[in-house]
Amino acid sequence: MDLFGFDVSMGTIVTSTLEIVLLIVIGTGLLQNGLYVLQLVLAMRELATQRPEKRASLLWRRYAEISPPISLLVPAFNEELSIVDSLRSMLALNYPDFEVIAVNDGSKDGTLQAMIDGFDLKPILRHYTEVVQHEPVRGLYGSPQYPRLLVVDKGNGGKSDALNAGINLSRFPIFCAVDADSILESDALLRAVQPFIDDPTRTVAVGGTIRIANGCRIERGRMLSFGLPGNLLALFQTIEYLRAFLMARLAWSRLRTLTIISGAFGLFKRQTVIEVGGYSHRTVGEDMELVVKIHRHMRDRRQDYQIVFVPEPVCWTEAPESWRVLGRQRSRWQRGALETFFRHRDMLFRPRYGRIGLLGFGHVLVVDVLGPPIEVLGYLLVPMLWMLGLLSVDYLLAFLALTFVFGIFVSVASLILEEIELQRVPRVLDLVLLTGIAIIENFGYRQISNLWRLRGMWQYLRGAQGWGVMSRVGFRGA
Amino acid sequence: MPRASRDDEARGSLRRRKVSVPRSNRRPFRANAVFLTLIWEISLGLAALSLATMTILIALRLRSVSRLRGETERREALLAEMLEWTETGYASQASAIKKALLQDPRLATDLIIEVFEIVRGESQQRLASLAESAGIGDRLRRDLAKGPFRSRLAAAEGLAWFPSAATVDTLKKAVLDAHDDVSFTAATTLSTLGSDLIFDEVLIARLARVNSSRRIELVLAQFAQTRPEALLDLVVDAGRSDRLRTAGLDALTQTGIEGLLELILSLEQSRSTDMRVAVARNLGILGHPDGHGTIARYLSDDRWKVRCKAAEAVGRLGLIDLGPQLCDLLLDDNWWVRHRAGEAMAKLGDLGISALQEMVTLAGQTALGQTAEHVLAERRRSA
Repeated sequence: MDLFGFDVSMGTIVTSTLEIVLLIVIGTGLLQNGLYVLQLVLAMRELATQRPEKRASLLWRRYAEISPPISLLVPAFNEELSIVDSLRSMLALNYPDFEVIAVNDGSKDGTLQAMIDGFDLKPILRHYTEVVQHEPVRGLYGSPQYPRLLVVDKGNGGKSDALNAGINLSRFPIFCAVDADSILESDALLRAVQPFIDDPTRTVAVGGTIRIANGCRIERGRMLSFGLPGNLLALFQTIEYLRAFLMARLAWSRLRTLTIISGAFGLFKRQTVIEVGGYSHRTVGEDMELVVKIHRHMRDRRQDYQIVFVPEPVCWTEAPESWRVLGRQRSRWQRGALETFFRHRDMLFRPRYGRIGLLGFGHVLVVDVLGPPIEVLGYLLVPMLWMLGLLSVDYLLAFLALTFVFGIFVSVASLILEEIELQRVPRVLDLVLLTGIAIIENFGYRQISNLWRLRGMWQYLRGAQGWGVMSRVGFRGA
Repeated sequence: MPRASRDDEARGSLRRRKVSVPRSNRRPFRANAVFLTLIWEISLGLAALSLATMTILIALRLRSVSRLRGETERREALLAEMLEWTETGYASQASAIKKALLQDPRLATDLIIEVFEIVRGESQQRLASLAESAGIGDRLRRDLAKGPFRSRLAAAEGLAWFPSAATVDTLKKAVLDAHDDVSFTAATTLSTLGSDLIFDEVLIARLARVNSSRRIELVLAQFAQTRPEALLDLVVDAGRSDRLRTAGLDALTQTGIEGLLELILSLEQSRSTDMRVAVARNLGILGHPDGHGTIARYLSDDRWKVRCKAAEAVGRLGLIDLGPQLCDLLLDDNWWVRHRAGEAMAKLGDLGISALQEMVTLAGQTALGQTAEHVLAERRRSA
């Protein structure tokens, strides 16, 4: 073939193209793992300097007097079986001043009736204003026996819509968004509120750790003892959650580049959230989108602020135990990340957004946008080319190192962090089991996760909407 | 060239040359291969290192299991014995407890502080002197002087139960601690012990540095109890930050000292919104009739936060004659002002309630009517 006067054979073109593709695969892998190492170092430093206080009684003595009041917002959709126990456990939280606002988001089951019966609720009136948008409220319910509890019944509009209704009805300066099927540790609010005590002017949002409740002993919405799940998928997720919260979020929090606070447990300054228009509709990643909106809002106004992650306040949640449900959840998370990324794509690498644009969005670009397709491409290409004898073993080993071996390091290192600083796993045998899981999750589970994420990308490209069905076993069975 | 033979040639070319093999010379190849091998080796090394560390941690945990079990048992037995002794006061029991405390100073220190939180009065004093004789006071003073942050903080709190010249000396040094929490805790403990700690520039500068932290409210509240005159100087000093001054004013109002009303009224004209909010809030808490004029003026302040606090103060003090102004505020642009004005009216007794009921009747489903209706409904519920 003659190209601009050069004699270029088809083989050369194919080889060069493959070489470039392989370099991209290896380069992206290196970048991802480089980010993980950075996160590990930062998380280690953060935990070493901010070791959590173990005794809750001490926290109460120190801070109860100066802790700001908090509104707990609990969106509930088809939670008939567990909502009463969940609310009871929230009403029993160890915190000086709080209210619980449960929002029935047009459930199709008996969620509302369960709450009415469980708490002897009656219709009430409450003065409020609609500062953020949501579906119309059909009724408000309260009970003199539970003065801290307010139940809102509204038309179905999704989780973000329910949270917006809760924001409108809340009266306190800080609100805490909690999933109805999650369980907060009794001192979780007291711990999570620390940044709002230390720096109430700059702190606009705080996230806490989410852990897997499968296998734990739970009764009437209260965590009685820790246990590991018996299900392999839930075990994989236990390690994943450790990695995500104890390593990634802690590290980005230290750099002030946190782009997500889990929808299952996060505290926000109400006024700031109102200023950004509340939770966005038409996204399945409303938690990430809200945090990014807050970053954008504060940076546009050149206001000093902080969004913090505190590792010790723990919220327990039930992890999916079937491949089908987990796959749907992961595809949805991926879709949510992409929706947020592309909705705010102008923030990427833009100097105006400082480290959020560079590191926060750069991380999303490498890990969520480019990472999954490139890694899957590597899984297809590298072994095939090596088997065909077209690739040297060095490339194969480097790829295996970046995807499998380094993954083991990162997962085990997260477990080390947990063991040194928090020691939340009480039994030695559990620790051994988790170490084993941290190794084997890299062989198979990680690859399947990437496929789910690719499916999420495809759904995003096709403009898919909605959450899909999220069936759960329920804590009663745990 | 026919397509088939072109493809054959391409395949042949690919087979002949692996991707990592360079076209021109060997140097890049070496660099490439070394780099790729390095990735493999480093990853393998890190994975092995992490697994080895985890193995060591598991072994350590295994070793600590029996130790922890023993410690928990000792702790529970000692706790029960201590609580019993605080009731009985038997000398023989005291010597057994002292012996146990001396055996494990770390456990003893943690436990003693925990028990101090449970017992009160004479029992607490007896326990303190027993703990002092067992060397726990010394240990806390040592911890405060040169322990890690958490120990210093716990020691600064715990020393409140070990009053002595040595304690005061150690606490005074700890006020200069690099960590603000330790410094503030040491200062408040000193204040609790009645020590003549000067509310000096160093401490004020420190409070100013963490200006917005709500922790300064605790420190100032403590000083307001023991050194209110020092706080008075702080509040009137226009050179200080509004945050420090308003927190100081809040702390002083809790003491109810003489001259407080004059102090609050002297700040009425402040240009700072936060200060005017603090004035309205503290007038509401103080409940002195001479605050009436200021509250009335604040009801039409151009800042909504000031109007809001003034409305609250009206309700709190039951200033019926300001009812008409509250009615005006029910149409305020800001929801919080409307809401607080409604609540304040409901607190004005029959007059306020009948005014709200009248609004419900006359204004119907307008915003005004709804505010009145909802406020009344909330009042009925909380009554």
